[in-house]
This record gives sequence, structure tokens and C-alpha cells, in this order.
Amino acid sequence: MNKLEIKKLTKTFGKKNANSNITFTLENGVYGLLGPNGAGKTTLMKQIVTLTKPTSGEIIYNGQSIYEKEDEYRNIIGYLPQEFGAYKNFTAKQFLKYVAALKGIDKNKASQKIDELLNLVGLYEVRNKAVGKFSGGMKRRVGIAQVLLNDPKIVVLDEPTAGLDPQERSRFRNLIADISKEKIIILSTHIISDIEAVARETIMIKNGSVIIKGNHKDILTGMKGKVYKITTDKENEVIDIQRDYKVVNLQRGADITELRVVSDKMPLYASAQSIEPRFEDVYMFYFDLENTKEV
Amino acid sequence: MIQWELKKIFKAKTGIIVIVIFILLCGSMVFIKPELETQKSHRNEQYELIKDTRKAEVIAQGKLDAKIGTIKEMANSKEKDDFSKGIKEISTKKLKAMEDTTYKDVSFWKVFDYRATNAFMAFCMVIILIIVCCNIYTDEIISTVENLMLTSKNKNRALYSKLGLGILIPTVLYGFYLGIQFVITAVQYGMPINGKLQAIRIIDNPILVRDAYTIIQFIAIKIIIMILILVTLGVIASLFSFITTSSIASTSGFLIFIITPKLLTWVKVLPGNVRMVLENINFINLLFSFQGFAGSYYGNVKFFGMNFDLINLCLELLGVTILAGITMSIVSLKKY
Repeated sequence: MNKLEIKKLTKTFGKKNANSNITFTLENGVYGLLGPNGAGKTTLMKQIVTLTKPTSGEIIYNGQSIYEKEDEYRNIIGYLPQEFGAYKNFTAKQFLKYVAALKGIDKNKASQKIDELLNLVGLYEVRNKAVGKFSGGMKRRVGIAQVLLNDPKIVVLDEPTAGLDPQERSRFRNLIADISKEKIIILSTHIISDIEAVARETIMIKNGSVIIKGNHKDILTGMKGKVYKITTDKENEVIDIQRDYKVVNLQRGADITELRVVSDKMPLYASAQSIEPRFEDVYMFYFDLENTKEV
Repeated sequence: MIQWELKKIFKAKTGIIVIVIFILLCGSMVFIKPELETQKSHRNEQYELIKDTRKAEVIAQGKLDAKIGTIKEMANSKEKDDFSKGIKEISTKKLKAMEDTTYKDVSFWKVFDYRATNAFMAFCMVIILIIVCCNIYTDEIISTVENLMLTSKNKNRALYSKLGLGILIPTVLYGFYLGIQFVITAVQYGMPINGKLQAIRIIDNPILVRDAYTIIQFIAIKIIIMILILVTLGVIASLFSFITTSSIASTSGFLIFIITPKLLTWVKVLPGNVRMVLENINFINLLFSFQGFAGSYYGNVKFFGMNFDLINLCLELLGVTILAGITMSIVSLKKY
């Protein structure tokens, strides 16, 4: 069993707190990290993968500070950064061989593992093609393959499905589900449906602090009585609702318009009725619409 | 990891550019040579080339006699200043070490010496170092592989191999260059002979040679100093790559490092002794007027009431620059 403890983690850049007093514990499974741009997700992940050190607080893996034996700790990490690129002139296989060398994997073992992973991500046929000629989705798949090279115990994926088409996203979700056994997988994304599909728990971050951590069932239970459907046939009422409430969804029919809103209190409209919350409602309830790129 | 670093360079366009520059450099040297001891020419007032048509041996013997005559004159000098006394002492030493005074074929060494430390070679090497070393880390940022490297088990090996390349690339490339020039010169002028004779036989101004070096000793000293200069530049170029985030910033920093000491030599408010050191240690002069620096004697310079041999002081400063460059690189790599 792997256990990663984040204790009172604070990271400041000048006067700005990118992470503020973050505390939680992760065990095997997929964790969705959700939050708007600038919430502090990437900073948190960078600390978990030792790219940057916390200003205060600690990160403990299986009872030992990760900074005590950094090289050993890095040996069990798999990291896919938000901006993942590879050397354009390297073939997919050559690039993975290079990453294997970085990860200190024996040449013979690496060669076998690379073939296995190229098969897993569906790139075996194009293994000898230059990465520079790959599409965005294919490059992302190379990124996922490099994450898994060292059979990591902690996998950190920063926006892994950004730019992928629906088919590739689905393929990626399945892949994450397949590898999630005996691993801690931290998945940061704006795409709520990705988290909904694969994450065991969701951690929501706002202004550098964790505001919610829990499984979907508990989070959705907490949202009961906060999601409403309002129907109206008056255009000026639609405008008023949009101004006064966070509108998750707006559906225009021939005569009437149906709005899905999140609110602490029952909206003061006769047609308002409480409905079952969905995960996107949770995001909308805590964050603003402009930060939700896709749902 | 060094193998992988080399692979990255040679798989990228920069690798091809470096190879092309290197081939052009080595190839062009076939046509570049100094005036041999057996040749003599000058231009008259109408700028016409007048060639000495006497027999080669006669011309060469005449030149050698003239050199020995100048050294004798210096050895008998009555001047009392420190510099003249130093030259007198060295000249006496050279005369004592003189085996015989008849001309012997030293064409290979004359040409090889000229090609080994040629200004065009130095220029090409600087271009290669800019292309390779100034981008050695910034390329990782641009290709966004930086984060993968920094979160890997072999992070430190990968980073230090980059610093290692900053030392290896100039040394190995220069080594290759010397090997190629040795072969080309041997094909053109015959196998090297008479290398144990005095170095003044291949030098146009024999007075400033700082000791009674043999030809081989003299060329070896020059090669070692040239390696020292190129390694210093390789390390400094790598350092700028480590501490900047773009190719332009790294290259600019490196060029400023090369040019600034030369510009300082024109700042009249600086003390004369400082300017004298800067005049010799600045990389523009080191690279492009190398023949007048390596193995030469320019007297002493005074600092804090103490006398220092000017060229030795400059060499020590060069050594300090390398050590400082390596230390600063290690410090900046530790911050990653």
C-alpha cells in the first residue's frame, strides 16, 4: 500500500500564496484535482514531483520525507507535465529510450517495456516515426507511455487530456482505470467528466487552499438542495436569472427556456424546483463559469 | 547520459550545422599557410608582390642567421630596465641551447603551428560553442523535456553530463581538428622532422619567445593554452545556458562575457596595470591574436607592490575563470 501525506504545505511566490496550508492523505487510487486556472494545482503537483520545494510543510511518502532520499523517491514517480513535448527529431522509440535512461532503467528491460507501452498506447506501428510528425493526441500518448516506463507508484498527470479528441479521451480514461491498481494517481484537469469517470476522490482547490476532498457520492450528497431547474417563457426573466444566479445550463425550447442553476437558497421563481445534483454543478457552485473549459 | 546528450545534438539541425562548419574549417585549412622559412616576399611601393628568387636553402639560412643575430644583439644589450634584463637573460639561454646554426627543414612544424592556433579556427570554434553549449540547457526548456529530466532518478547525471559536454566538446573537437591538420600538413609538407630543434626556427619574432623551447615543446604549450581557452569558453557558454531561459539570452550573455574585457581596455580611467592584464586576457585578443600570447614574454606587471610575470598571471586568471565557471555551473545546477 502506498501512502502519500501532504502536511500543512505552503508555497509562496513573493507575497502570493500559491498553496496555503494544504493537508491531505492519498492512498492507492485515482484522485481528481479540480480547480480554476491559478488555483494552485500545478504548484501543488510540482512539489509532489520535487520540481519545486515547499516554503513550509512537508510531503511524506510511506513515512519518509520525500526530500530525504530524493533520487529514490523520483524513481517511483511518473509525471506528465501540462506542457509535454519531446525532441522532434527523435522517433517515439528513441525518445522513450532516452526517458528510460533518465529513469535509470536497464537497457534490455527498457527495450521490452517500451514495446509493451507503445502497444498499450497504440503507437507501436508508428514507433519509428519522428515525434515531430505526430498529432497532439499522439504526442500526449507518448507522454503517457513515458510516465509508465518505470512502473511508478505515484503518477502525476497535469491536464493529460487537453487537446485530445473524444475517442482519445475515452481511450485515456480506460488506460488510467487499467493502471490505477496499486498506484496513487493524481489527475489534474478542467474536464469534469474525466474526473467523474475515473477518480475515486476529488480534491477541489481554490485560491491555493483545499475546499473539498471526498468521494463523488459524498460531494454530491452535500450538494443536495443546491441545484434547481427554472422554466420561463419570458426573455427578460432569463436575463434576470443569469444575472442573479450561477447558471450551469440553459436550454431554449420553442416557447419556454429551461435553466439549471446552483444556489444556496431556493430561487424566488414560482417554477423553481430542486433537482438531483450532477458533478458539473459542484464545480459551478464553487467556481466561476469562465474557468470551465469543457464538461 | 553523455552519449544521449551527443545523440540529441547530432539528431537536431544544430548538429548538422556544426558538422558543416567543422568540415569547412578543416577543408579550408588546406589552402591556408604562413610564409615558409624557405620563402621571402614583400610588396613594393606600387603594391606589386616581389618574390625572392634565390634558392630555398639560401633564403632559409638568411632568415635563420637574421634571427640568431637579433637574439645575440639582445643577449649583449646594456639596457637596465626589468623587461630588457628579462629579454637578455632569455636570449642568452636561447644562444646556449642553440644546437647548430645551419638551416634544417622545419616546414611541417611551421605550417602545423600556424594551422593549430589559427584565428579562423578560433572563430569557427566560438561559433560551434555558441551553437552547442549556449543551447545545451535552454534547448530542454524549449522542447519542454526539462520537467521530465528534473523529475527523473538520473536528474543529476543528466545535468552534470551537460556541464561535462561544455568541457568535452571543445577538447574533443579541437583534438579532431589537430589530428586532421596533422595529416593534411604531413601530406602537403612531408612527415614531421627536426621537432627537437629550437622553436625560434619557426617563429618570425624570436625575441619574445619566453624560453629556449624546442619546436615540439613550443607547439605543445600553445595547444595546451588553446585547449584552456576553448574549455573556458565551453564552460562559460554552458553556464549561461544554465542560468538563462532562452537561446537569445544565453548567447547574448556569452557574447557580453567575451566582449566586455576587450571594451574595458579602452576605458582610460582604469589603472595601467589592470588595462595591461585585460589587454592580454580578453578573449578577443586571446582568440584572434593568439600567436602573440602563448609562449611569449612581455615582462612583469606590478600589483600591490609585487611583481607578477604578465603572461603567467594571465594564464592563472584563465585557470581561475575555468574553476569559477565550473563552480558557478554546479551551484546553478544544484538549484534545479
